Parts: sequence; structure tokens; C-alpha cells
Amino acid sequence: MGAASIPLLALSAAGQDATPAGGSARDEAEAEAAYVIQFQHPEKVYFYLPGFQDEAFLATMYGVDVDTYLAIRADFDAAAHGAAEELLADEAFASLVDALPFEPGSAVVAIGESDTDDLQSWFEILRHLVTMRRPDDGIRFVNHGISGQNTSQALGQMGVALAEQPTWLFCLLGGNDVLRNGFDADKTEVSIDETERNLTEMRRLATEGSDLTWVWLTRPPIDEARVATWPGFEMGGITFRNADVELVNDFIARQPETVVDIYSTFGDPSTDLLGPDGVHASLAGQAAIARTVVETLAG
Amino acid sequence: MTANDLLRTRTTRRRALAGLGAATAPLLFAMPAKGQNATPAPGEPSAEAISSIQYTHLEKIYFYIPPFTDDAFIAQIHGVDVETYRSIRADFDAAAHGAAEEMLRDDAFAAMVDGLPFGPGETVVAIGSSTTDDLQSWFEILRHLVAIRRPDDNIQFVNTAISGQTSTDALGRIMQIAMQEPTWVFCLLAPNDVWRFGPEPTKTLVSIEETEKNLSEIRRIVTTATGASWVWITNAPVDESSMQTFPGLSFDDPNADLDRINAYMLAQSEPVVDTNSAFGNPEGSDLINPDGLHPSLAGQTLIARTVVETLAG
Repeated sequence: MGAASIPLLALSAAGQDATPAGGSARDEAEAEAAYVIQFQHPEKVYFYLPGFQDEAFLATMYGVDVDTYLAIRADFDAAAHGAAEELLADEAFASLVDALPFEPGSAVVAIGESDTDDLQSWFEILRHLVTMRRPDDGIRFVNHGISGQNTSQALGQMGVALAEQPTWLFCLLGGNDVLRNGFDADKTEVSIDETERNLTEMRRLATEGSDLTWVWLTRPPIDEARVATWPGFEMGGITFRNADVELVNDFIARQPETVVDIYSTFGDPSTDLLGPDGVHASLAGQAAIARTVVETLAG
Repeated sequence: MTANDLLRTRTTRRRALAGLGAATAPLLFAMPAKGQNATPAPGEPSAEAISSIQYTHLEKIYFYIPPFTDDAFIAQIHGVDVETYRSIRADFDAAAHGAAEEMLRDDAFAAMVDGLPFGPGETVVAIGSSTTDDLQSWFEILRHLVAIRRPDDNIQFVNTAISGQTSTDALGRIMQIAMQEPTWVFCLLAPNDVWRFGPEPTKTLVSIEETEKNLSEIRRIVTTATGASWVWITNAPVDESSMQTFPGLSFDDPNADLDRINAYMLAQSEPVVDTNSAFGNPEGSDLINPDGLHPSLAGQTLIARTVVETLAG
């Protein structure tokens, strides 16, 4: 989730995963920059504007110099790599990674929101898992997660995802659709009927006349207790209800394609698989999602 | 992902898009409109840069990231230096000011501007997409009209419009809009809802039922929180005969889709500025830019005129 629109993550990030694994001690300003760098990547949406094609410009945008910017990205990448290494310490799991049905040379694309766009997301962990175990297979991973996008925006963005000519497409959407904006909100950002129509249309566009394999991920639960006390959400007038998340998941569960059931993996939402805002997965949560993807596809 | 991976991904994507055409929602109504500006002299900004400065204002979206408040940084986004950036903005502002001055030569119209029901010290907010986000939009012309005629009334104009946004996205930003504490809100949404994506599309980006729910909820949240007076503005028609095509994106009888949104507005109890009727037949109209989509300066002026005549007439 997070925020192309309301700066949800800017509001909600404080205190979350302050120092990525492997990160050195940083001053406060750098830690703040790290949150934004972790989740907000306008260059994925506005790549066609001249400024976003320049790394120095991106560093300026985040308020750090280029070296710091690259170091922060490298830290998150190291965290994802570390999570993958830890998972691979289990040999049974490592053989599941070997058995993942990705053909050599295939393109694996994820469409999603902040929990995919996250530089240490499940998809980045999955990329490290596959790269470590199958370095010669030339499997390409493209993370098309965009923080804050709803399914109408994702539908408008399908051209960019499909331009990658994916052979596998993972879809983890709907988290921003269930966001309720404004106090006493009468409706979610996108009504469930519209979410279903958007997801159906995206799948149709991706799969019609194509060999692409579509994989759904259910949404993790949210911890309503943590959400209620998270200052960023209160300030932004934002609320979430698990009942809304379950409506999206019910739709996904009814589809004929493979479903990776993250919701069941997370179970009780009060665990540390969710970060302190009660919505975004922690690094442990991201690793659990990656593990569930592998177990579902290769198990 | 390493920096090299990042660059490689971007290059791949650019290459892919060069073949497929850029087809993403945020481009809608923000895409450089070819043919609207003459070819620049050497050293002059490109037509693309001018168009992107006119319509694309990421500083409104990413206001919470500090560099977005810096002109020099914004200039970089558009690929021009800061002086050029400021001078292009000033040109559009001068165009809006000039349009206002010309309208005010008509004394009867000037008296209507004096009679607009905005009180001293009030805040007037616009919610919209590129038609309003445009640096020479109807709202900027309205700002100049009021500033010229009523310089001491200290009426604030806040343009919250974002090019490319749908009514769903506007709902997502609703608290930012409410935080402006408006006394007047003009709502001109949502032509981006009616785009269709991909071959043989089965739905618009936002279905009409959902657009209606969004508009209703946007109005409810803002008026409940602020007590603001609400004014709808109907969507101007598009000129299908000259419409710029975007690979991957299409319309299917867009004026029929826009009419459905307009019909919803006309059925509401609040005042409606009926821009759609004022524009009349869109085919070949000089009220619409050569892209077939955006109002020209003449079209923007007509919208501003219709706003004044509706509220003060």
C-alpha cells in the first residue's frame, strides 16, 4: 500500500524496519531517506520524464548523495539476500526452489503495491532464491510493484508490465482498494465489485492468446489494533478493516488459477510478520510470503 | 537490485515502450501533445518539455519529499534549466492573465465577476484532472479575474487538480483536499475514468457506477468536514475526429461515457456549471486542442466564463 496518492508510507514508515539488516548506524535524516527509498519509486511510473532517467537526480530526490543512495539500496538488497540465504539453510526448502516451474530464460513479473515495491519484498527474496540456486538459468525478475496504486491504476499500468513479455505473472493487489479515506468512510477506495472487474480485466489482458501463467497471491491480514493506534493513519484519516481484505481474498480464492494463500500463512495478524503499522509486512513477513510462494508452486 | 540492474530494467522498458507505445494511466492527459507547439529553435526547450511543464506537476503528488518544493529540482524533471522552467511557467501564467483581461473588457462581464459569491478571505478549491491542472486552465483564469477585480478581498485559490487522475485517485487524496479548508469547491471529474486499456477492452478504467459512488463520497467527505459550498462542472466533450491516439489506450464513444458522468452531476442538488453544453459540437472546434482531448486557451476561457455566468448570473 503506501502512497502514490496520500503519503501513507511517509506517514506510516516512522519506526518501521529502521535499520535494514546489514545496515550501519545512520543519522536520523538518513534513516528517513531510507524509508522513502525502500518504498517510493516514482521512476517506475514517470520513467518517461527526463529527470527520472538520472541516478544523481534520484539521489537528490531522496535528499542524499549518490553514494549514500546506492549504499541504502544495497543494504535493502543485502537484507533480501540474507533472508533468502536463511531460507536456503533448510535443504528441503532449497530443493523446492530447484523444482520451481520457471523455465530457463523465463521472465517473471510481479504486479503489486508497496508490499511488492518494497526493496526487501518477497519478490526480491524470490529473485535471490532463484539466482542463488539456479544461477545459469537466466531467469529474469521484473518488480512492477508500485506503492499506493489501486487496481484501476494497475489496469492503466498493464502495458508497462506486459511490455516485459512475462512468462509468469504474480498478482498481489487490492490492498489500496480496501483503504478507507476520510472519517466515517462510506466506501473503500475501490468498491469490491469494481476491484473484481479490474482484476478480471487485467488477467484477461495478460492471458488471452498468450502462454503466460497467472498466479494470485491473497492479501495478508491487517492488524486492526495496530492500525488504530498508528499515528500516520490517524493523521491521514485512513482506516482499514479485515472484513474488506477478506472480500478481496474470497474473490481470489474462487479463481481457477494457482493461489498463493498468504492470508493463511500469516494467520493471527498480531504476530511480528506485520510491521508496527499493522499493514505492511516486516522482513520476517516478506520471507514468509516468499516461502509460501515456493511451497505453493513447487510443493 | 543493483544500480546497474535498475538502469538495465529502465532501458529494457524504454525499448519495449518504443515498440508498444507508452500506455500508462499517469500519462493520460499529461502526455506531450504533439503538434501543439512549434518546433523550437536550437537551444530552446522542446515541445515535449513545454507540454510536460504545462500539465505534469509531480510536486503536487510528492509534496512531502523535500526536493519537490525546489524549482531547480522540478526543472530537472522536465529536462530544462531553472530559468527556462520559470519562464515557461510565467508564459502560461501570462496567457491566463491575458485571457482574464480580455474578458474583463466587457463591463457587464466584469460586473458579474464583482458579483461572484466568494466572500473576503475565503478559500476556493478546485478538484480535477489535466483540464484543471493545466497552467492556463479555467481555474487560473478565474484566479486572475478575481485578483484583478477584487485585489483587496484576499480570496485564496488552491488548484488541487492532478493530471491523469481518476475519480478513484481523487478519493484517495480527499483528506489533502479537505485540509485546505475550502469555503468553495469546484469539482471537474473525471475524463480519465472513461479510458479503456488494451485490445477489445471490456471496461473503462473506472466503471460508471464506481465513478458515481466516488463523486458522491468525495462530496460527502469534503462538505461534511468543511461545510464548503459545492459546485459541479460538467466534462467538456472531446473531438474524436482529431483525437490523438495512444497505443494500448482507447475510447469507445468517449462522449457517450462523459455524458453519463455529466448526467450524474446534472441530477445533483448543487449548482452545475454546464461546460459540456457551452462547448457544443466538438468536431473541429477551436475550443479543443489539436490532440482532440484538452481544451485550448479559448476553451479554458469559455469554461471560466461559464463558471462566472452560472454563479453570478
